[in-house]
Amino acid sequence: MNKDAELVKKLKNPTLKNKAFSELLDVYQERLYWHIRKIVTTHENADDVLQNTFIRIYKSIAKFQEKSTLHTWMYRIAYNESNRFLEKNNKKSYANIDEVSESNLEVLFEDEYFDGDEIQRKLNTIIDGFKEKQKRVFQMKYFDDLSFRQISEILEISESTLKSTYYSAVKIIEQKILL
Amino acid sequence: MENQEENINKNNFLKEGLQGDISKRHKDYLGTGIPEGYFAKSKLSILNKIKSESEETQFLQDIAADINQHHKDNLGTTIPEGYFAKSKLSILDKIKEEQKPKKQLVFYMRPQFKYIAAASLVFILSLTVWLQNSNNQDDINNLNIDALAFPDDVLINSLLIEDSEVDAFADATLFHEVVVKAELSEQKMDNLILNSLIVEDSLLDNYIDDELLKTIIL
Repeated sequence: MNKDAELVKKLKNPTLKNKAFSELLDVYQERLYWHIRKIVTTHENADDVLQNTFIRIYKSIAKFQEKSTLHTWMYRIAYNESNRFLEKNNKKSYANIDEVSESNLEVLFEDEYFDGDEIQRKLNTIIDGFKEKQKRVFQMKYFDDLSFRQISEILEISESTLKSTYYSAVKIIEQKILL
Repeated sequence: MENQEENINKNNFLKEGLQGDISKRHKDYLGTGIPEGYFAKSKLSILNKIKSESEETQFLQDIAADINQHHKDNLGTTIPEGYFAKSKLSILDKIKEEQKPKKQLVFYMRPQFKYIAAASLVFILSLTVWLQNSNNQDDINNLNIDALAFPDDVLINSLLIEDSEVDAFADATLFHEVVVKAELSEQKMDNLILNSLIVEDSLLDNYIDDELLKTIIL
């Protein structure tokens, strides 16, 4: 039995659940944080979503059917939580028409926890210019260390489409970063 | 006869499986061939792929080992010092809160009962006011009749009074009949209100019905 399967078994056991959950946080907190942070841009937003994600994981672990790996299942929850957060925020900004909405990049560059140099700003700008799907695929593959199979399960896109999307993103970055 | 021989050959193929030269058998039985030296080349190709993948895995493992540094280096994104330790505690606290059994409200404190209680109170108050008004109306009717109908002894006495004392007699009689009795009635009313405060709500209606009828009328 691998480590994740063991962890799931403990998480499903009411007497071991809390200890196992603490272990789960140790293993996955950072990885899920960065996955979320790239979607919701700022540290403050990521912190909110991370907490909601783990609470959702805690509440729904009993229903986890183990059709996918624990890793993929949690990434999917984090991805959905992040999108839910963005939708909620978009509705808020639509409701307030006087508020001038800032672009993702503006928000990122103004974030207290961003201190990127020129090249890092350039890479962020290139990634921000990608279509939503390409952006997520590149981020999940390049930064989150997910396999194409895992990304395919999270985004519900075929592996072959993912591969072509990813490699075309890499090519664009290579070309633009050298300009 | 030919079919029988063919079946025997097929059975032999299935039984022998990988034991013999499987490529030759496939060629012989199914007519399917492979390029010369294919398996040797294929083995090398597979080993090369495994090697490159393990290098890539190592590269990715290095990345995962310091995911924070990776993000800082590439994207310039940082996090507050000690964030993950604090965040873990905060999440565990929230989970603890979630686990606490939620306070069960006593049934009459639940919202649905509050509305029912409020509605009942309004009904009881309305009923009380209505009963009082309706009794007062009866009282007024009774009062008019009573006021007009002095008791017999007063009428007989009035015949025996001399003309010069009629006014004084009338004043004294009116004072006794109207003011004193009204005061007595008011006192009884006060007692009724005081008692009604002591009597339980459920008995209030009956109490009011009985007592009001007895006391309000002058």
